[in-house]
Amino acid sequence: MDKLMEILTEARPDLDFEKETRLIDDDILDSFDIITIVGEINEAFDININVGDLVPENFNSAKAIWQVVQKYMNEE
Amino acid sequence: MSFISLYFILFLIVVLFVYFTVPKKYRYLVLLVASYIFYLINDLRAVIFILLTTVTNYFSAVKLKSISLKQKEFFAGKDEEWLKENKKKFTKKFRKKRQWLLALTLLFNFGILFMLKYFAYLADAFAEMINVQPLGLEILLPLGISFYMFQSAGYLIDVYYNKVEPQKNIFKFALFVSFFPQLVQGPISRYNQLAPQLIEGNDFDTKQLKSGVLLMLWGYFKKLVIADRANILFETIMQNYTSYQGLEIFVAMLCFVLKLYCDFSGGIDIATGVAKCFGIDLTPNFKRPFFALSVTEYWRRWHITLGAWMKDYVLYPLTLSKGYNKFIRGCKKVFKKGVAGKVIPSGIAMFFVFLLVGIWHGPDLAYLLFGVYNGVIILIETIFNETRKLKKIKPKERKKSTQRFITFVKFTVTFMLVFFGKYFSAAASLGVGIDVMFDWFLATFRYTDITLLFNNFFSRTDFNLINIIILLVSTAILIFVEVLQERGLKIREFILSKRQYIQWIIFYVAVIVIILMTAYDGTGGGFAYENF
Repeated sequence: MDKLMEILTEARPDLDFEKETRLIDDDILDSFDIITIVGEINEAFDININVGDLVPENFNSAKAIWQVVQKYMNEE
Repeated sequence: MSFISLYFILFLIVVLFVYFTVPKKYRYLVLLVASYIFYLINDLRAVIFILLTTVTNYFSAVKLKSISLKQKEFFAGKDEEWLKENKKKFTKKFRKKRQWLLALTLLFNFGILFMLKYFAYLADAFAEMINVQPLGLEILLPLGISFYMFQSAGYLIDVYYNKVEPQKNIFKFALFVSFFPQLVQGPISRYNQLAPQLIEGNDFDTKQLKSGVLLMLWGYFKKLVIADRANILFETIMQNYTSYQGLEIFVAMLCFVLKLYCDFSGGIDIATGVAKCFGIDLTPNFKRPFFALSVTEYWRRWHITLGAWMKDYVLYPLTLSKGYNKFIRGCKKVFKKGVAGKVIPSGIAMFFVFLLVGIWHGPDLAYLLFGVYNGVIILIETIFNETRKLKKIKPKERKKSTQRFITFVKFTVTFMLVFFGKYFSAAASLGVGIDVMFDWFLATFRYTDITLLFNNFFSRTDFNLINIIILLVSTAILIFVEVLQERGLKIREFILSKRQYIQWIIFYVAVIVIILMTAYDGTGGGFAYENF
């Protein structure tokens, strides 16, 4: 989780990811952020997040993103 | 049978009546039959295309699912040791099969679209190359072909990624592809959002019906009173633009922008209103785009469902692909962790999307340039935006009046940038060359003597004073309503919360206004986007 938080804050230093729970619903993250963040996550955790998982509920909060990462890590 | 005809209203009343009288589980069939009747009346020969799209996507989706199930079954009987060694290899094998199926179906469908759009153009180019008389073919695209193709492709990709379960009943799927209100020009709906509403069979709801009718009336007002009227002025001036300059060209272009917005969004309002009468909610396609404070925001508010489609089915798959991932990593190495490392890889992908939208619009250099023009502006905006984000620059606390002034400047700059972008669309819509477009553009900035303007303007155009007054007043009403909406007022809910007789008065006044003030002359009556 710490590693994920690091990636997130690096991509968007202006946000407090501990608090945000509507990152996508409120348009806080744009598509450029998503592309960067998913790319970084794939590299850092050595996983390949599927396009099918790019849905708002998976990216609305750091916690939700972490769950997706864990899902992929368990599959590998 | 266009949306703009008495026949359509009668058709709608009959379909509504039948829909709410048959048992719930057959209601979707009523919609399906109605949709095909609507399609057949409009475009008898083109029905083959919608059938092809329906059938290919239906069977591909079912097959995609069956390959997935086979894969599961295949792994189920194997022990852990075997799985450890072979799972990856066989997963890849099954994935390849699914990928091929998806790619072939998409290629087949979009291949048809591409051929229909580009065949005449390519044939002429080829004739010119081998020095033969060009054929001068004119292919009228099947009604709404792009929209139902996008929608079914989205469904198939969703099935591929296991986001939705494939529809086993081909009639239910056929309805999702052909649902008549959105057949003409969208919005492009998602399967998981629209299909359940279509299939389930909705209860009759007076409030939904009233709300739908109000929305339809608003759409007719935008289309018939504003768009068709603004278009007359635009065409009169632009087809003979050498006799005008300065302010007149500017006014003509304003009329074009007004026409484009009211034609497209008006048509969408009618479609959404019709669907609402059946208790079906379509995805919003416009969110008052001219209130945007940046070009990026404008594109988030204009033709929303196309933008979202491009993002989910082109931008994300492209940027998440392995090849592109390598490119992103390469950029990061070169540019370290600065703005460039983030903007360049994502920016190029986004640029590609805009180019694709340009190509989709048709074989006209103007559309391509339109894509490039918007792509460049958005890229510049993104660089500023990313710098602000990465350097944690927070918006300064300002006095209210200063803030208002800044908002006004942003609004004006955005409007002007969007406005100049519309010159490309205007040129393409009149079928003139890029050089003519630049002539208009330059003519916009020439000096017009204001007294001459008033003397000449009205006498030169066959557009009389009454028409100008109606256009001004109706546009003022449009702006007033959108300002209220922008401030959060839900107009239809507000009207429907009033007493019955007030609702009836509003309804009758709206109908009378639309009938009396329509600029529609009984010919054509189509929408700009219906043959896209």
